[in-house]
Amino acid sequence: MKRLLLIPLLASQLAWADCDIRSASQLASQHTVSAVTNLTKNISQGKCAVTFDLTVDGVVHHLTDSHTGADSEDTLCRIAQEKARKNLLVGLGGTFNTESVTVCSEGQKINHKTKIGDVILENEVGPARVTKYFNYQNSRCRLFSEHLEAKGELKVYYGVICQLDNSAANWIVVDKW
Amino acid sequence: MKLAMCLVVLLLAGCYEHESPNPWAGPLTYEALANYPVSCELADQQLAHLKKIKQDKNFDPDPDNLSLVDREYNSKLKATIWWYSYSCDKS
Repeated sequence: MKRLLLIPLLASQLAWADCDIRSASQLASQHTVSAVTNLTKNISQGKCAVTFDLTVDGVVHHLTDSHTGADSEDTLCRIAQEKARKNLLVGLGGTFNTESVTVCSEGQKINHKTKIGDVILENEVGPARVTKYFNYQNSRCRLFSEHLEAKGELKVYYGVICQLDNSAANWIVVDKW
Repeated sequence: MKLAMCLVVLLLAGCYEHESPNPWAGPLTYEALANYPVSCELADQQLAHLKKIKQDKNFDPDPDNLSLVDREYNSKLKATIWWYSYSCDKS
């Protein structure tokens, strides 16, 4: 009987809890790219087609691309080469770092405007003009800025966040103005 | 007699040791706050002064609940107080 009473109770708690996932991501792309090798250029009537090899992180890629225009042959070939190189690197991507926390509150909708005492991810708020980290009450802190839209107007807030327990994810808003 | 009275008054006024006003005390206008002569060497005195003003003003912690004038003052005051933390931090 006790168990029967407990199940609806838990269900109602879940139904009322308003959860929000806060996440901040950044793409860290670090590749070792060699010089271009085995380059061949095929130039005809304002068009340059190039083929070449490029070694990225120890892997050889054979690339081809072309560019058409009124520029000099040299420029056309350089642009074609650059296009091929960029396409390859965009395709390779990088290390995608995402940190996220799930915040739940009961009853009311979560307001995204931070307030003093909120625990947030460091990247949830932008940098301020002063970007240096400083020590405050034995915590690593920095100034932040927050740009929000309210009734069609841009509002800018400033404040200070400090790292909690040396955790990369948890920063507390200690002041805001 | 009147001359004697005037002399006495002047003498007393001259003898009165008047204290120079403490620059790190009392309320500040927005302009005075904007031109506050922040100094790491005087951080203790100046911070005590600024924190006293903050305490006296007792602004709402949510800047959206402040009038435009109060918000400007509060911003300048808090930014000045935090200046000592990042400018005088030797770590």
